Amino acid sequence: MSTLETPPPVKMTRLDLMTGFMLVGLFGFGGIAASAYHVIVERRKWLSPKEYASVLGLGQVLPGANLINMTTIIGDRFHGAVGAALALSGLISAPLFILVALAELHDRYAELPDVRAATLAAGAGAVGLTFGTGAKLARNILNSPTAVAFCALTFASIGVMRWPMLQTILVLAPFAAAAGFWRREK
Amino acid sequence: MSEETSKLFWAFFSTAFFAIGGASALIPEFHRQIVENYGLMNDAQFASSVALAQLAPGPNMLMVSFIGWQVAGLPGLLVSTFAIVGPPSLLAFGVGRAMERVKDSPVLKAIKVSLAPIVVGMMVASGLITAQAAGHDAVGYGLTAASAAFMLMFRRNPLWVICAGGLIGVAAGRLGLMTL
Repeated sequence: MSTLETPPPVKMTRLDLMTGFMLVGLFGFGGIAASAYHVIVERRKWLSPKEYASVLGLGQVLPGANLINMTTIIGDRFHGAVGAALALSGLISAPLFILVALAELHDRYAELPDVRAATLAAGAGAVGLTFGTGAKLARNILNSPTAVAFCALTFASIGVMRWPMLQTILVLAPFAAAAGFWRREK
Repeated sequence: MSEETSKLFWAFFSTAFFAIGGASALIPEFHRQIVENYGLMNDAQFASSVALAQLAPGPNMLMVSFIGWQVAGLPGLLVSTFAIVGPPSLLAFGVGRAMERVKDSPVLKAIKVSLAPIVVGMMVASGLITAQAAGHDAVGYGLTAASAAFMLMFRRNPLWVICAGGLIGVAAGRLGLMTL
């Protein structure tokens, strides 16, 4: 049943592991979901599509960012604790350098009207992306009155009342989970 | 740790374990902590950090590293990155093998499915709060609407939206259509 109890029969050195995740980070524009699949499954063939789905599923049930969790798990499966550390640092090191360079460039030229206009407009675009992604999810997910109610309550609490996310989730999640569980039992 | 770096640490550490739905669903919480609670950035700085961080490749969660760098330089970047990446990764490392056995359980799946509407609510709140922080004019709202529509209709890389937005901004700015 479990696909990765034993390390897969793939030859992969520690250097391979680190450089592979470095590629995932560098190719991952707009998030690493697509680049992770590309490098891990298609390019380096470390995992089959099925194994990949299984490890990603595991990353999703654990708290924290799904794909960062998945990176830790894959690193661990192939090379233990050292592997996990190498995979993670490979993943984030190059993007961190790029972020710093971006910040410095922006600070240096922030006063130029063109740069201010571009940043403001890119920001407006980024907001739209968030709305768009939310709407995309909503199409598949908000398919029952219960789902709509929990979505609306979450929005009202965090977006309108500006209450903390932690408390909102702690209060709403048990009810949402109970409702989902109850519906499954019926 | 300086006062600023310890504030950064607590702001992101307290959010790390509740990161359901990825970085973009967490923007309201980051805003509440960084702008409202600790006053480490103002609205405009926060909004431009969110936008600029999306230009770089890598995990979206590194938005917090960018905020850390803007607030407190290298120590801020390191502390923020560690606070958001470290704890969940340690947990994934610790219980990853044990969880392998239970992750396909129907109960866990049912719970996951039922949490999805909460994530959608977080995303919409996220858009609202970032829009308010940015304080856009008509051009800004137009771009927001256009990019939301783009996301809904096409499966293209979001980076295109950000870049196109930037170019339209430069044009609108030069034509005097945007309040800078």
